[in-house]
Amino acid sequence: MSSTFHGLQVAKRGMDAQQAALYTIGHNVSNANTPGYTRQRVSLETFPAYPAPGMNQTGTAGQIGMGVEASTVERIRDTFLDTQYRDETIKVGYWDARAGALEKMEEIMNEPTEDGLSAVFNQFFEAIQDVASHPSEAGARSVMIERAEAVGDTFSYLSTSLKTIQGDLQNERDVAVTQVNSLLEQINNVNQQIQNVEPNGYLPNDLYDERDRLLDEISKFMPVSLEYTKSSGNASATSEGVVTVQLQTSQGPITLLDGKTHQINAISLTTNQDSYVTGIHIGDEIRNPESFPQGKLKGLIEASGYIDNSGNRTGVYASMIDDLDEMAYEFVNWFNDKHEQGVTLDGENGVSFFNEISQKEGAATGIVIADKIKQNTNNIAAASSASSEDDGTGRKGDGQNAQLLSQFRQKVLINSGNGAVSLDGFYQSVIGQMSVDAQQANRLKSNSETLQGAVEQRRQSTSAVSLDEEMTNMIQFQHAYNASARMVTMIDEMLDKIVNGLGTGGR
Amino acid sequence: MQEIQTILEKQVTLHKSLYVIVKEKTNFIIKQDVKALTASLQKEQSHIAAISALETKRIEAMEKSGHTARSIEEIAGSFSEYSILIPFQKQLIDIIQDIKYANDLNNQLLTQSLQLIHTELDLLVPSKREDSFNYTKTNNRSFQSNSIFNSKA
Repeated sequence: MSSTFHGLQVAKRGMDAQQAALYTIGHNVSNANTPGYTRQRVSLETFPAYPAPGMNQTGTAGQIGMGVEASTVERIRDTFLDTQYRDETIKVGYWDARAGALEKMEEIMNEPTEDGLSAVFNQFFEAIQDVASHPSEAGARSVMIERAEAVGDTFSYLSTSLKTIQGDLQNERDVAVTQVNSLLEQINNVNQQIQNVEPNGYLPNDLYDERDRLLDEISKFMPVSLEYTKSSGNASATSEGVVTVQLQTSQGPITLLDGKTHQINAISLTTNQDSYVTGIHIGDEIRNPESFPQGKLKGLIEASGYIDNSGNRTGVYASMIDDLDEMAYEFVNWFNDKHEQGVTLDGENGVSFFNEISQKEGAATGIVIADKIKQNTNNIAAASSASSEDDGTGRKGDGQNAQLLSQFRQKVLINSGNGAVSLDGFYQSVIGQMSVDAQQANRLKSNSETLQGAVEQRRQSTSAVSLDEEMTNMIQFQHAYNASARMVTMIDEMLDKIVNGLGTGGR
Repeated sequence: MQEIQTILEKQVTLHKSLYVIVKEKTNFIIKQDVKALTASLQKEQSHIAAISALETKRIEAMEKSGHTARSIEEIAGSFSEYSILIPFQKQLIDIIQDIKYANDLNNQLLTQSLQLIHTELDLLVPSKREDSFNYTKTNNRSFQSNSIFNSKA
């Protein structure tokens, strides 16, 4: 026999469960714009029926339902979409960093325009030609010196601007490392909070959301694999547990954050005196920059420069700076050599046109015109020593050496990957390579952004709060709540009958 | 000569409009609009047919001019009047490359969608066990029901 007040309890449970559902809807609606929020759903279950079977069971016709209970509040989320999203985020991070670095480089190199290095070379080349055709004119000679100064200034401007940006990128790279470590710290915190809640049988949905958001962010920097360990105690079957974050590398995974022991293996970079990355430390493990997996961090390391496996400086900016140095070094030495072989207007043997540059590194910033040339334009060795055109007053009509000098763009040979090439050819290939790289980076950046956007859209269609849907649910649960309340009224009337009307039937 | 130029011009225009269609497809794939996607597939097919017809005509025209199986650069090297064709060739190469890249993206987007569909189907439909090399009694009946829902339940 069930109790007289059984119905009241059933109706109360109904009201409680619908109320829980309504409050969850309220929570969903108010978080409709929260980043990383996943809509939640109350799963309703019937309460265990009365009576329970047993030797002393009461002799009723059957079990009577005991109403409803709200068993769990769950997140509606597709983990596969998370995996897909994070895979794309890695690529976006990498190509975005690379495209950004190359874009700034293109702005500095400024080719092909009137301010680029090749235009300045053109002007210098024309000035030398003028000297060659009018060797005795002081005007042509001083123009040549000015143009040579412009060449030096341009080299130096390009090299220092590139180094400044490289420095900025190195800062950005260090900031990225700090960000990764701080994200690991935050994930660790959330992990611990989750571990405190789960053994009680609750699902800390909002903490799960926060953790997933942090994991999305960390995957921008590098590819991570996740492993979940269930909490012990009275944890719900649908609980997620603590997460262990591992970095995926070609030599196997490295643990960044151990969910069980809460130990963090922070990332740090070792750099040489020029702030080029020489190694990446993760806890006790060391990885060389070349084998570090793709992601924003790798993109920034590549852009700002690192030491490769064979011990050479590489990187987007490093190689451009080195190429400029190489060009400046070869150009200055060739030019000086040829200039020294010439004869000045006063019939003396030529001196160095530029100050000597003894080493390639930093050559681009060290192009300075020799004092002797600056003091007197006559000291430009435009005449050839082989020529016998000496009229006793100097070599006014001889421009043969200048003619030779003006061929510097074809005659300066620079050793590149495919043999010695002319200065012109070298510069063209450097600029060409840069623009091809930039184009590729931009294309892959926009591709991966599109792909990321497509997954994000799909993910949102599963997990985001749809206000329309919440509205219909609200009406549905509100009706159920009202109906349960109506049940209470009905039982109240029944009880009124028992209390006030029972036993008065015969009166 | 004149004929080849007209054909190249037409090819450039056709490729340009093909590029627009391919770009459109990207949007439809993202929006998961299958109807619109099918419509642009049809448009694409007709473009491809027209392009290959033009290509046959171009080869014929090349044969007539006696320069079969030689690149435009090569011909322009020996006959300067052909050098006006080079800009068309460059334009065509650029557009074809754009189309290729856009198609690559579409391909990746489709792969991504299919990955999701396959994972979700795998959850619903139990996969057949075919990983055993040993002889086992084939139970044909168990392989018959491959529908998502077990109607007997």
